[in-house]
Amino acid sequence: MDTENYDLTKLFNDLTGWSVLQIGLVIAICFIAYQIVRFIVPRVAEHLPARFRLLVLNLIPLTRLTLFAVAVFLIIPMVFNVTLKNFVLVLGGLGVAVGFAVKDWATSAVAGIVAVFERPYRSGDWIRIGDDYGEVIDIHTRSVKLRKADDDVVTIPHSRIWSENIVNANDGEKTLMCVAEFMVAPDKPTTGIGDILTDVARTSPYLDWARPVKVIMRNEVYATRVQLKAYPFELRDQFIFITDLTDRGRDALIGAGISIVSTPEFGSYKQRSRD
Amino acid sequence: MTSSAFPSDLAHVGGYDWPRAPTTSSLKAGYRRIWEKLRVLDDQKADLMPDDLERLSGSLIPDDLWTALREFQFKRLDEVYLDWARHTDGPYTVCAFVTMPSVPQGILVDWAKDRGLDLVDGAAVPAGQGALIVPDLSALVRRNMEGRAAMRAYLAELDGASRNVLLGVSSWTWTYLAQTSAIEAVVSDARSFAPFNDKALAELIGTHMSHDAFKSAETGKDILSKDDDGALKDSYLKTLAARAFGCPWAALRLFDAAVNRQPDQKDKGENAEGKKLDEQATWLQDRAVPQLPNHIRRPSHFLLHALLIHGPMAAKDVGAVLPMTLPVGLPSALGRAGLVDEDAGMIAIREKSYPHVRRILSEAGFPLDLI
Repeated sequence: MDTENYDLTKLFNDLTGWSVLQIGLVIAICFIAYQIVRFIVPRVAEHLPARFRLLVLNLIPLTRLTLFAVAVFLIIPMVFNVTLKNFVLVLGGLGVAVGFAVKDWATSAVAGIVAVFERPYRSGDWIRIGDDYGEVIDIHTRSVKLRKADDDVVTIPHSRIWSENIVNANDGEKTLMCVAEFMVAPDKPTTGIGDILTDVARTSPYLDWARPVKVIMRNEVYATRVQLKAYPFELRDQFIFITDLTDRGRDALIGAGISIVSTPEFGSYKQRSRD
Repeated sequence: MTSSAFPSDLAHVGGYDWPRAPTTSSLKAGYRRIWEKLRVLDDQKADLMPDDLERLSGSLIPDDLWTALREFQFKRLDEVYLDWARHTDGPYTVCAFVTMPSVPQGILVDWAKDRGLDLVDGAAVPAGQGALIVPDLSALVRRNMEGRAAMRAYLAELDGASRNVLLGVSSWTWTYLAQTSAIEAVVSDARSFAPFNDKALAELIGTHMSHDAFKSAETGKDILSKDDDGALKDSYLKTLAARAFGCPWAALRLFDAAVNRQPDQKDKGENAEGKKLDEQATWLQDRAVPQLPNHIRRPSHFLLHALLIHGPMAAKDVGAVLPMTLPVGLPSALGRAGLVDEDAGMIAIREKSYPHVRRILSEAGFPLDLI
């Protein structure tokens, strides 16, 4: 029993005022360094050539992880008497604390570390988690922040990578596929639709020339669904690119005498089929 | 004007050897550019350069240099195209001659006229003997639905032409057409002027401007001096060749814009004897890439890109190739930034600013010309 008491008393180093100050300094320096990186990197990245922007943005989570590791590495010897036995004792105690008190936070934090290496998403990527689709603007220890197209910012815990599929639209690339959809009347010839819509995409100022343009058609019950698939050269132009394709594509199809199924007509088809 | 340093042939499109700047020079330039964009640096500093220098308002490049360069390139065109152009029997082929926008407008017209070849401006292939020269295909390309239909019809006509045809086309128009149309199926051979590297530029400048000593403001070294192996000691011209994308006209214009010298040295006769070499030298300090105001930056990029693809355009025609509303006064703002010229209602990329324009679009991630 005496031995046990002795070991427990030797678990911690003597915490003097100077040690506490040192610990405080390490935490403050790491925190300030991280905040500086978080402040500077996105601003510099905005001015970099597009191909480097995503690469540079990913310095933020890496820096956070590195600074966290450095802080832990420096603080532990100041607080604990690092021996194997003490290490096991601390780990056990920590396990109990984490298991009961901060389980959810710890799950998300571990998932965050996994996310840094497995990279289901990176800063600047466009991802969908559940119903939320947006650009990854920040990756914190516990959560990832998305900015959606309507400018809402959504905070999602990393732990969702354990249970949900993460859809990454660009996966670190500088472009992503955009789809403009048209519903055309199923009882009219579709000759020329492919060429017309391909021309629409190839005359868009947002188009990445080097990527393919595809037109896919599929018969559905009340209409033929036509999908125009193309890539913009800039990720952030995806919505305006789809708008451009939809706007000019619809006009070009109507101009070529191809009937676009409008909502009332679509409704009447439905109504007729029910009757 | 012949030298082993000069390119001896035209370059095949797809095989253009883009000159590269030394890595340290590229890193320095990139670092500088970021700080300029963040508005931390307003003007370039050059500690080595004397303080009492001024930029020249006129040009330092003598006319005979431009003439010699033009004649040299005419000879390259002769070697590749002249016999073929005078050939009247089949089989007939369509060739493309691709030029960067920094190559003087009308160079193909002047060459064709000088050699007595047929020229046509419109999208037609009139009957005749020998090759037909289409000086600027870019003017016939419109990035809209009607333009694509017209281009398809024109390519079909070229495909069935009963004479050789040489299409003059800008590198941007060529890249757009090559990646979005069937032009490469119709054109059997596409070439461009070969790149001028640092040695070729040194030869060009050294031959025609031998009375001047040029020093880099960055290093303080003479840019034309060579080591025992004949390699240039300073990397200024290597960087210049990269910044000009190998186009000698662009390189000379950048060189000219970089000149700083003492006011009394404008007139060679007034050169003060006994002055130290540093005081007599002509210093070269590259100008910064113009900054565009934030609120018009994005539409400016689209307008510059459209002008590179279509060549000079009337302001009222821009809307036909750019399906977006541009801010009022955008061409004037770009004119003030030194990137475009407005003349008689036509907007065009300023030839001497082309390297800056390409760099701006490259940084913004726009599709670039590939030759």
